[in-house]
Formats: sequence, structure tokens, C-alpha cells
Amino acid sequence: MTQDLVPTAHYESPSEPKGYDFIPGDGPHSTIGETTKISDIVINAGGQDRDTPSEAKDTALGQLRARLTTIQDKINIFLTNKMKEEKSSKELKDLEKKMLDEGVDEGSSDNE
Amino acid sequence: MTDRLVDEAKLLLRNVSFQIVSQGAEALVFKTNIHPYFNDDQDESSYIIKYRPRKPYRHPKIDKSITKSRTIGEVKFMFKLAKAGIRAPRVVSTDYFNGIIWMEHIGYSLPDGKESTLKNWLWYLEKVRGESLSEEVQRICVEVGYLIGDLHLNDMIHGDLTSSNIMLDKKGPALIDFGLSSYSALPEDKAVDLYVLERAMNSTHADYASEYNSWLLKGYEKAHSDGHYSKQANKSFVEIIKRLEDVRLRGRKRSMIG
Amino acid sequence: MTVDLDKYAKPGKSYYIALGLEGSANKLGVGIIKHKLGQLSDSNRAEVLANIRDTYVSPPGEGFLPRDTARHHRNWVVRLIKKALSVAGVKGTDLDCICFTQGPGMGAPLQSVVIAARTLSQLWNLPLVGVNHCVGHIEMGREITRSENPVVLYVSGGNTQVIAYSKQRYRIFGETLDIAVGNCLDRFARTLRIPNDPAPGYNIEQMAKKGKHYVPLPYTVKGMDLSMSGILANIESLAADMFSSKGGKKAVDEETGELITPEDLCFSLQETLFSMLVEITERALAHVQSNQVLIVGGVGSNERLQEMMGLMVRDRKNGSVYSTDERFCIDNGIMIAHAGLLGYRMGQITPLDNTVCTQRFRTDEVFVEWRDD
Repeated sequence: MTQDLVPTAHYESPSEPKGYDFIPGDGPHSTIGETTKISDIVINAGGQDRDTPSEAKDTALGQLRARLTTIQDKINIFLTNKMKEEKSSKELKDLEKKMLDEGVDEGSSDNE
Repeated sequence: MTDRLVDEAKLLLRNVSFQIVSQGAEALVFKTNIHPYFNDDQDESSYIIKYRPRKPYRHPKIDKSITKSRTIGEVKFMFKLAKAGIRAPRVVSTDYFNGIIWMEHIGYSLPDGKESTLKNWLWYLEKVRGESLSEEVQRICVEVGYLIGDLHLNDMIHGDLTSSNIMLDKKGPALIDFGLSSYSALPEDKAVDLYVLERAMNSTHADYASEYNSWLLKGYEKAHSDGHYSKQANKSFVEIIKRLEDVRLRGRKRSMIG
Repeated sequence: MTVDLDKYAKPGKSYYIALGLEGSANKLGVGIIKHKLGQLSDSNRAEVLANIRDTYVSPPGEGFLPRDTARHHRNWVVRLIKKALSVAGVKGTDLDCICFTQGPGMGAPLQSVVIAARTLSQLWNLPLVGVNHCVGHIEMGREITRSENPVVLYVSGGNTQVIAYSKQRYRIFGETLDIAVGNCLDRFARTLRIPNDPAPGYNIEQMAKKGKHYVPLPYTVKGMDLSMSGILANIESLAADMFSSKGGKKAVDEETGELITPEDLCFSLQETLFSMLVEITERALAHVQSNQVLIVGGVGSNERLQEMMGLMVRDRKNGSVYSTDERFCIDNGIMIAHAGLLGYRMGQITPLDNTVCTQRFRTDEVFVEWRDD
């Protein structure tokens, strides 16, 4: 039996100096990822997916491919959430700024 | 130029003897000593006949409409140039339907036998005489820039400025080829006109383009600042140059996805 | 030409072999090319050892999205490379370099393919060569047709340019001011729900052959540049009227009074767009005083465009048109291998740190060191 190849990933940013580690975990792992499927738009428009990845072989490299897909999913979900958070906090700040700069609040624009 | 086109022209210009000057992209240019309607034996002057032949590659409907609109557009533009005192050949007569314009002949023959467009003259200097950056070249470029400044101050847009469409004459530079001309007071349209010329200079006279372009702009600025137009002229020059910078950037940044 | 193309030849080897990877849009291409030592000439031509392509096709009415296209490339690239190597009968270690498209193109697909290139480079310990997609088209077109110094019309889904060579650059004489001609055709195909398989432009071409009536459309040539967005908006509104359930105003032919069909629209669109392309090409020919035209890029495989270009040059003395078939004018890996290998032979290699792809990469940014005519 060959030794398992286990990928890891690390995320760090100025606002999160402690960072965040990703490991594939126990599994099961497969090459079909949650976040790397074809777009819904294509399927809804009657398209077919002929580009699915081949299944992972039961070899060290094959298993690495499956684990990579899992870790990629975790990273994608993490980064998507980060983007959502940033977007909502930016929207909040923009609203705050607008209110301070222009004195706009609910109702006041009726006078214009 | 193929014989077919010359035969077509001969058929339309019966009893007119002419020499072939050039085949441009959309027109054939001939030279003749015959005036289309005066019969004066003493007349020594020569005329240019510009003929837009039928383009067999275009659908007949597209072809007819383009030939007609460009011929009419060009003649009207030349008439307005004459009224504004901007140097260009004067129209003698026209045949819209067949795409023919007779006009005054300007320019001269360069020592290498070619006609005196700015392009041929610069190429001649680059290749034969190796004196591309002389004071004379600078003076001519500034004059050309001034001429284009004059054009734009009249809210007239050439639409196809290249060094082949500027003719050098003993009396100074003149503009030719107005098939794509239009009228506009917008800084944007003037900036695009300048950009087209700048790019044509870059691609045709690569080695000296930066000098040529800066002299052209110097002349262009001079036309706006020397006070023969309204005081607004200076301000509009600044606006046009600002726009020119935008247009340049747009060209370089254009996304080329796919 | 006096350029020495063999300064970097490996001692004892009489040829070079390069692998090229292309994935700037919806085609994934892998090509393997062989050059013998010495100048390329009629008797020493580049040899295509393999040229394999797989296209990501989206359903009718949909364009190809970057993420799905990138996914297609990612999941096919290994299979295609293996196949190309076996067709060519070469091993990775026989190669001199790995060439890849560095731009211009769509970001995500470019990035997925460059990862494959980097991996191979490290696996087989081979240098990388980043290639400009447009220069790939031009060099492959020149090599296949053996045209010496043509004015190049480059027409594809993302590009519309008229190019001429001067002083070691491919200089852009004219180009679109808004959308590319292929993009215009693709978007029109979506409006009419014309299938994307095998390609929207191909299907429009077939329909146009059945068109009879010309519908007047704007004609927008500006010097050597052209604009196509106005034409697209115009014909899209005609198409919308045609399919409107309310009846509404349906376009009819002015002379015969017959209803305008989708085939007529395809015909009219092609006639208008291609007339403009031929006109700006002729302007460039007149300007640089050349009579050779080379058409490259996916739209270049359109037979009507080739025919119109032929009619144009017929009226110019000694004029000739060169074009290639779909193997070479539609995006492919072999052109990247070929242009990359030309650069490699001049010592142009791309260190790993500089292999980042760029969506914007102008044709005239490339130093064409392998030519000095």
C-alpha cells in the first residue's frame, strides 16, 4: 500500500493574521465537487454536461485528486462567504457614509 | 490596377484622355488636361478625376448607396472647405450616379516620380535622403497640424486622416479624400480624428512617428491659440487633447475577450 | 531574412519539437510542431505532428460562461495532451519547450490552461514560452499559406483587427471600435436561438446561403476602423419584431413585398459586416501598398467572406488572398506551438514567475524578433 498524499491549504489576511487552515478531512472524497459543477443556467437551458471529471482511481495520485476536490470545495465555500460578508459590510458602510455626507435618511428625499 | 477597372472608366469618360495617378482603396484617381465643360485651347491647367468604381464584392444595394452618399458627401464637404478657406482641391464637376468627381489638380511630382502626398514625401526623405528630422520636415508637420486645427475649428471632421490624405503643394499642405467626412462640434469626434492620424503615423512612419506627431499637435495647438478664431478656441483645444488621451487609453485597454 | 534562428539549438539535434496549449476562449487546443534547423522556407516547412481540439458548446440562446469554459478546459486538458503525444508519437522528454496562450482572452479559461502548462514544464523540466494569441494566428497563417508579407485580417469572436508587419512588430492599422465581428454574429445567433453547435457563425453562414432579400442596415466604417454595435442593435430589433407574438410590424422586402425571413436577416448581416471588413482591408492594402491578404481567426473560415475578399483583390494588380481551413483558423494549439517555438528559437522564454495570463495583450506589444524584413 502506497502512502496517502494529503493536500493542505492555508489562508491569511491582514484582518485575519491568525489565518485559517484547510484539510480534506476523513471523507469520503470524490472528484465530483459541490462547487465545481456546471452552472445551473446551462442545465436549465437544456444543455448537457459532458465535461464531468473522470472518477478517482484507487491509486495514490487518484486519491490525491479526490482529496483536492474536497479541499477546493472547502476553500470555495469559505471565500464565497468572505465575499458576501465584505459586500454586506460595505453596503452598510456606504449607507452610513451617505447619511453622514448628504444627510439623507428615510423620508427626507420627498422634498426634492 | 486591373484593366477591367480602366476599361470601365474609359467607357464613362468617353473622349477624355487621362493618365492613371493611383488606385486608392475606394477610388481610382486619374489626371487629365481636359476641362469637363469649357473648351479653352489656352487652358494649360490639369484636373483630377476621382472615380469610385462599382465594388463587385458588395451587394448591389450596399454598393449603390455607399457610392452615392460618399460622392455627394465629398463634394459638399469640398464646397464648404472652399468657403471656409481651408486648402483642398476645388470641385469642377460631379456625376453622383457614376461616382465621378472632377477637381482641381494640386501637388507635384517628387524626385522619385511619386505624387507629393505627405506619406510619399516622408518616405522619400526616410529612404533616399536620410534627413527625416530636418527643420523643413518640422515646418511642414506644423503646417499640416495647423490645417487640421483650422478644419476642426470649423466643426468639420475628415474621418480618414492619414499621411496619404495630405497633399503637399507649392503653396502649402492641403487635405484630400473626404469620402468619410462629417460635421461635428464634439471634442470626442475631433479627438478620434486626431487619434486616427496619430495611429496612421505610428504604423506608417514608425521610426520618426513620435517627432512627427508632436509637431503635428504643435501646429494644431497654434491654430487654436493664434487668435483668428474666438477666444473659446483655446479652451476647446484643452478639451480635445484631454479627450485624445482618453481615446488613446480606450484603444489600449479595449478588452479582447473571446 | 538574416535572423539566426539556431543560436539556441541543442548540440547534436537537427530539429526542435514544441507543445502548444490554447484555451483563451471556448476551444481547448493541443498541438505539437516540429521545425528542422535553419530558416523556414518552401522546402523546409514546419511539420504538424498533432493538432487536437475540443470545444465547449453551450445550449442555444446561451453564451459560454467563463467558469463553465474553464471547467471544460480543466477536465479535458490531460486527456487531450495524452492524445496529442500519442498521435505525434513523441514523449514529453522529446520536447524543447511548452508554449501556452498568455492572452488576450477570457481570464478563467486562460488560467486553467496555464496551470497545465506550468505543471508540464516542471514535470519534464522544460522552459515555458508565453504566446500572444493573435500572433499565433498570424504566424500559423503565414506558415500554412507561405504568404510572405501579407496584410492580415484577424477576425474572431473576440478580435477584429487589420494588421500589417513593419519593423519587427505586427502593427494594428484598423480595428473594431466596440464589439468583435464574431461576437456580433454570436449574439445575433442567440437572439434568433440559432444553435451553438458546431458554431453559431457556421450556422448563420448556412442560413445566409438561403437568404434572398437584403435588408438595409447601418454601414459604419471610420477610416480603417469600424463599429458594429449599432448594426447589432438594429438587426436585433428587426428579429424581435419578427418573433413578436402581437403581430406588430413585420419587415417586408421593399421591391417584392415578401416577408423578411430569418435567413434574409442572416444574409443581410453577413453582407453588411463582411463588406465593411473587406473595405477596411482594402484601405490598409492601399495604405501600405501591398496586394496580399491573409485572413485568420475563426470568422476567417466563412466562405462568403473569403469569396468577397477574392473579388476585392481581383481588382488590384497581382492581388492574392490567403486563408486556411478550420483546422488552423479556428483557435488551435498548433499555432501556439508554432509561434512559441519561433520565439524560443530566438531565446524568448518565459520564467515561471512571469507566466501570469492577461486578458488584454495587444498584438503590437510582441517583439517579432524572428523576422527582420
